[in-house]
Amino acid sequence: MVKGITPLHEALFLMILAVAFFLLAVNLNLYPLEKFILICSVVLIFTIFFASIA
Amino acid sequence: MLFLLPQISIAKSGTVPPPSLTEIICEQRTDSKGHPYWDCFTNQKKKIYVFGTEYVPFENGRIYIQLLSKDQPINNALCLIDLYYPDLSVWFDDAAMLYLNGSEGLYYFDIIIPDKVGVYMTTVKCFYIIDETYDYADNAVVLKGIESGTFQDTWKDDNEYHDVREKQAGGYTLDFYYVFYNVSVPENYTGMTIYWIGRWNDPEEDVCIYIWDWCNSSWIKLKNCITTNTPMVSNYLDTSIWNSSCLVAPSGTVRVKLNDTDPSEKSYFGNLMTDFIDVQMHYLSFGAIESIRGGGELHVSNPRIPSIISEMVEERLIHNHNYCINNTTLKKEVLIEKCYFDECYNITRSEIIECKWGCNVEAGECYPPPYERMLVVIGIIALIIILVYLGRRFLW
Repeated sequence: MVKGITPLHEALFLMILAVAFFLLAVNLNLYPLEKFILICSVVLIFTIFFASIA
Repeated sequence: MLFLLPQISIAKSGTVPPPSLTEIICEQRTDSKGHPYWDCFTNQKKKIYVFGTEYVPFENGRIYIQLLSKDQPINNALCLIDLYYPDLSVWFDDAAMLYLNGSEGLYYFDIIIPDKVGVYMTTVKCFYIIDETYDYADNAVVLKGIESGTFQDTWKDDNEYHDVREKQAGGYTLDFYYVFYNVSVPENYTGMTIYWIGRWNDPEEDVCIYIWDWCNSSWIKLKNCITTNTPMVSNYLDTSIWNSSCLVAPSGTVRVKLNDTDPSEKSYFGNLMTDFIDVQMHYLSFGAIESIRGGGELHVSNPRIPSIISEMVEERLIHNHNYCINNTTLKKEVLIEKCYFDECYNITRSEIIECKWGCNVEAGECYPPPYERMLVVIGIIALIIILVYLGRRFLW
């Protein structure tokens, strides 16, 4: 564990990752339905992690 | 009957022949009893000037002539052009030239200069006084290909195109024909011309023109084909060689087919854009037929570039645009600037791609196969889980 990293830092890191993956998913060359599934998965995974931090 | 006459006529490209050049013209005529005789003269009674000029590859070229008799323009002639590549192979054989409406005896023929440099020899022979009837397409039947526009777009040379794109059927191929109804064979008929004006964009192969032979129920290939360098193609079918009753059905129907030369080709989806097509029936309208011939040249060179460094032509991508024409077809357009030192030309290359898994309208590209897409989705989800897990495991 790196010293000085607080849950706030962790949440921020997760948030940045979530936004990056969201943008990536939006711009991928996928069918709209696949894109929707991917975005939902990204949101779900990050929600779970956020919940675990809280 | 048309007489193909052994005439000698001298003309220089780009300029009117100087007075020192002598024209010796002989014509075979028939007297009132039908006996042939030769009529030769050396004066300037009849003139045909063939104008070419200096070109560089990819330029739009125009060969034109002015036809005069006793210094008066002849506007009712049929002028046929032969054009040879620098290697002396035939490019056009007896292609009918277009009369410039309202001009004083001007007839022209358009080409796009190929990248073969050298001297393009050309000869023109004209027959007059000839009139024509014009028939335009009444239907288009597409056997292979993807059509956009209608046959009505071929009635005028107005940049409204009837497009037929190659379709995958083994290779990329197109095959379709125009139908002309109620074509009548006029009295004193001398021949038929099929004019085509448009664009073909596949440099890998050509499109040839066929006419339906009603006597043998088969397609007959005509001499002059459509290439990427021919914005205009015509085929003259002289009555001395072609039996009009085999070309025109008793009901007056004529069929003209366009078919790519290599149906197995798979590198490029060609697009044939027909701006204008018609069938002209020529007939002798006044007395005996007269004829005249002339010759000239086009000179194609890479100016100021020694041949050894001609490959150092600079190419620059100006614009690259991909878009979906429909749910399964992608069109890629590339605008390239080609420069020979200070002289630059813009060349548009377009390619039609059939998307097997559909076309992404937003992204302007073809969708990848399903397994690739599934891999991407699963891969991204796995990557997120791994990244967050590693973050949680080692960072905090």
